Amino acid sequence: MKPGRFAYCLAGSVDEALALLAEHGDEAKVLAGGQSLVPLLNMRLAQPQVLVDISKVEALTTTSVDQGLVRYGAATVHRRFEDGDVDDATGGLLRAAAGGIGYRAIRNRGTVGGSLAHADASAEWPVVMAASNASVQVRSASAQRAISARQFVTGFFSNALDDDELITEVCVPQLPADTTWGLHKFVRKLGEFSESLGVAILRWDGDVVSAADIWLGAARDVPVRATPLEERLVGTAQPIDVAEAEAALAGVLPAGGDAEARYRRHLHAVTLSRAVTDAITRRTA
Amino acid sequence: MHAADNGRVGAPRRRNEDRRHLRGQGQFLADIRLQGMRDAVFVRSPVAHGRIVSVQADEAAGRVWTAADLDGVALPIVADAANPAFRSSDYPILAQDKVRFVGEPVAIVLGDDRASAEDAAELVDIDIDPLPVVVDPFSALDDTTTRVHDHWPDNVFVETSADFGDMAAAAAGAAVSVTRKLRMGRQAGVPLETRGCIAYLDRRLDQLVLYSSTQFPHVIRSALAKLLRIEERRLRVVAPDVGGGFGIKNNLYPEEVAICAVALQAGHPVRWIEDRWENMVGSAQARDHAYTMTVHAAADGEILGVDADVLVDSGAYSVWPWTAAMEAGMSAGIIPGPYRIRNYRFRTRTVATNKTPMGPYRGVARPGACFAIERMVDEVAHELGLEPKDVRIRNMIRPDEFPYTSVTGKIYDSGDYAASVVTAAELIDHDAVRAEQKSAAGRFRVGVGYASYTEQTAHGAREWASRGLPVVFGFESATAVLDPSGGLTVRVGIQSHGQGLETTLAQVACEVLGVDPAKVSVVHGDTDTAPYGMGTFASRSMVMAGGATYHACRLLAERIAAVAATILGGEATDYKVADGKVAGPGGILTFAEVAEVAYLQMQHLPRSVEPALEVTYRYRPTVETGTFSYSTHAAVVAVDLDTGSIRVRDYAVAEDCGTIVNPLIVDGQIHGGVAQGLGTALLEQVVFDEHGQPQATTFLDYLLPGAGEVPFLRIKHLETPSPFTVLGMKGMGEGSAIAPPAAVANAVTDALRDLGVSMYSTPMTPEVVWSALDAVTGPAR
Repeated sequence: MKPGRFAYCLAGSVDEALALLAEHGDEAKVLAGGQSLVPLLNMRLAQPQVLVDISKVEALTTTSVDQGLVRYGAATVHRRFEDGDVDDATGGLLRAAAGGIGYRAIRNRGTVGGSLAHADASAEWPVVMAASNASVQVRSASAQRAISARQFVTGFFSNALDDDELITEVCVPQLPADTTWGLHKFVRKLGEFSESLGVAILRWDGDVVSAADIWLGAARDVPVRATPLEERLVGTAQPIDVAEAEAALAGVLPAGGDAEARYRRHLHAVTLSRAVTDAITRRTA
Repeated sequence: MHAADNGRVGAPRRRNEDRRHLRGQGQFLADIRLQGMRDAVFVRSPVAHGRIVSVQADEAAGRVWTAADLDGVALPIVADAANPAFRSSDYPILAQDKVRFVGEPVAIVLGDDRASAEDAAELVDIDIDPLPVVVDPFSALDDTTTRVHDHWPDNVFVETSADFGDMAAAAAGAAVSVTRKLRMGRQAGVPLETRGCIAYLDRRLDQLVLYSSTQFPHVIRSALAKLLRIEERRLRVVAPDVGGGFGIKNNLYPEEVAICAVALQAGHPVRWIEDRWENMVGSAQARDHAYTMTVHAAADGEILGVDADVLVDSGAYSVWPWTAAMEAGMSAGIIPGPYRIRNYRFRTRTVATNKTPMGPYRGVARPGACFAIERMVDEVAHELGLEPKDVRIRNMIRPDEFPYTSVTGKIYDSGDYAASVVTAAELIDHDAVRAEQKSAAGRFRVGVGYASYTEQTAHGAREWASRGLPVVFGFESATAVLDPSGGLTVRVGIQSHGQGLETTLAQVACEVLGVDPAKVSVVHGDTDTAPYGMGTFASRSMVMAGGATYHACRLLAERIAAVAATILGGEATDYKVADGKVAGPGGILTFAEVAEVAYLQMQHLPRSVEPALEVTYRYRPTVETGTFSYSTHAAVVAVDLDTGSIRVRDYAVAEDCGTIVNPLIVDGQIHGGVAQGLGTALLEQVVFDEHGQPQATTFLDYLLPGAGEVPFLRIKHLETPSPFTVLGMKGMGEGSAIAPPAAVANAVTDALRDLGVSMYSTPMTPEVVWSALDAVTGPAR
């Protein structure tokens, strides 16, 4: 479990990093905290020729607030979200999600941009950023663009980036006042990747939900929007029980499969039910 | 108050070894650097069963060692049990004509570092014609077409059976007869430090030196002498600091032999450090038992008879020195447990499959046996409408019956088994749980479960011989020496790899000689400096090395007294050693003063008093079936009915390991054992697919218990000394890993039985629990 040979470049600036990516294309991989990439390198599941280390680029670790958006530098480590060292655009959801990522040692190094780029649908950031309707700011040497977090994960560990593109910021809209969030992560062991991850963001109009964003992780190759549950919630404040959630998910998740598949679908229903209850409880608390 | 008063047996001393370990100053295998050392990588079989057609490599790989290169250099490992019915097989150092499990070593390449060696390994191409695989142990029983070992008629290593008492009478007289199938899953042992070894030729001493992260260096040396056909006096094996073993490092492995062979041919030091993937597929695996149990009981809960069928999946090869026979034999021997069972019948079968070989792992077969009998006790109790803990007490051997010879011939020496049940129930507040259960509501269910066991420890020659191993572990050595400046060193043949023996053996020395344990050097691990010993396993070291140390120090005390009498006048018998001094009619001398004379001024000694102060003692226990520590564990669980998740809410241990040498270390062992037992119960599972491909080879998939999974433990010690051992000590290192699967399974069953669900297998994953609930109650719940 030692990596194959690679050339290592410590980028001093975003422009330098982009120039390296333009030069090496798919032969290069970006290294931020290394918490996802280094194990892949060690197991030789990834064998890039060049590593472009962006962890020391200061511009990628700054946070700013700009017209209702909180702009997080892509190399912001999870710990800073967890500890409240950066503003939380969601009034606590980002902080709660960050605190559940792996272990503290991982959170000291792993970054929000790295997690999104890794595109694991069972990880916190891809699901939470989709639920928050965040946008991912991306640059290459020649251009820049924004990609919705809801389209960023395109498949199994696949993202929407071109080979020469770098995530520079993640922009999260500040949640309006009448909004609550709920988060539920199912693990068998503290610190592992979720076996099911439910995120619910509810907009309230008085005592009832007026709009809902409910997303599910670890169910498919991409984060899944639980639209039937969103529709069920609008106009009420009633929690969704497990049976109801399971029925609502029937159209969203693939049916059939073996006993394990049945259990997993049930588990996702439980997670979403609990995430929604969590969000409703925050309103009435 | 002397410092030594806080250093004797029973003192909660902080550990001597922590002086280096807590500062990161230990020296583990990977810390050793030798000039010219190159790293080896084993190219391993990617398939579970197949014929090797060829091994080819690009020239850039450098020299590639295969089985052909070991011809005439190293013999295969052969671990045959004495039972004439045991099927013999070779465990090749490097696979020859066939590969028999994924991860089996096939070839070796070298590099200046591990990464380069892995680059070279990528250039080696092993061409294998795949064969059908035998993966499921039940299929292995039936399949005679696909055979792991071609010269066998089938896949059965060995079958054993015995019939004690009168099972027919037991069945006829029973109010209930309960039959259940139970299964304990396969798991890995996962020491924190993986295996590894370094071999090199020491030309000054004319020795082949093997550094190995092993639990028994002397025994490895003796084995290597035979397989490498090098005189044992020209071999040296050193176990440096070893970061956990748990039995996984207690086998002679092909890698150790192979690295020696390569070093002999390469002419420079060769190192192999096992990576975690290799550890998960190439180091011995454990547990994997299937039971069919029938228990006959009277209406008052008395167990009248036990009928056990045991199936063990031993993987592809028989490991040395335990042999593939040991696991089933140990299980059958202890199924009767702490109970007065005289009608007992068993049949065991051990099969070969295309999986990683099975070896001993903390508890060794007894977690499976305990799971089987303790679940049955609860099943019987439920049938009879009795509290399971009361059925335990009803059947337990009573204090006035000790020493008690069990139906399988084990001599249980001392204790109060029932007291451990009562104590565990108090610790866990049994009545409070029962009260809580009455008002059960919502989507959680609470349950309490118990598991009791009695653990054979520090057994000697007769027991090992009866197991039919190729070597018998009958004694242990200690050399106690005062150096010329009066300092005490104890050299022992065990190998402390987390047990704290550098401290506890020093405490035993302090008990006799009164020297501060912090000032006692305990030397172990190097065959050149430690007297011949068996190593550390089977919960033997405290009793065996402690017994040897005790006697060696007693004899040393006599020698000190003899020298003192020479100097001060009078009879040696009038001089007593205490507190690092010797006192008698003529006065008092320090050890330093006595040693000075004994070594460097021995012109004062008469011919009858031997110069120097060094004694070696070989300890052989008087009762060789060992000494039995015992315990009852109690678990309280909360089961989430929606997810099937089990939370261990509370956990108690009431245990008795005889005279406690160091309560901090005993508590540490209990915590570690319970953690591993909870891993067996809930989390850990080695899974092979239908092609024999291991599925859980990293910690992403193989879940280990961490701080979040292990509750704070309530522990109470009973202390019934053994009548058979020095100071009444008993071994206890493994015990706490034995009971947790049974205790947790009993607790979960207690929680869910009213819903129609019982637990009969490990690990009890959320999916297993939920699927069982779903099967009974259906989707509309």
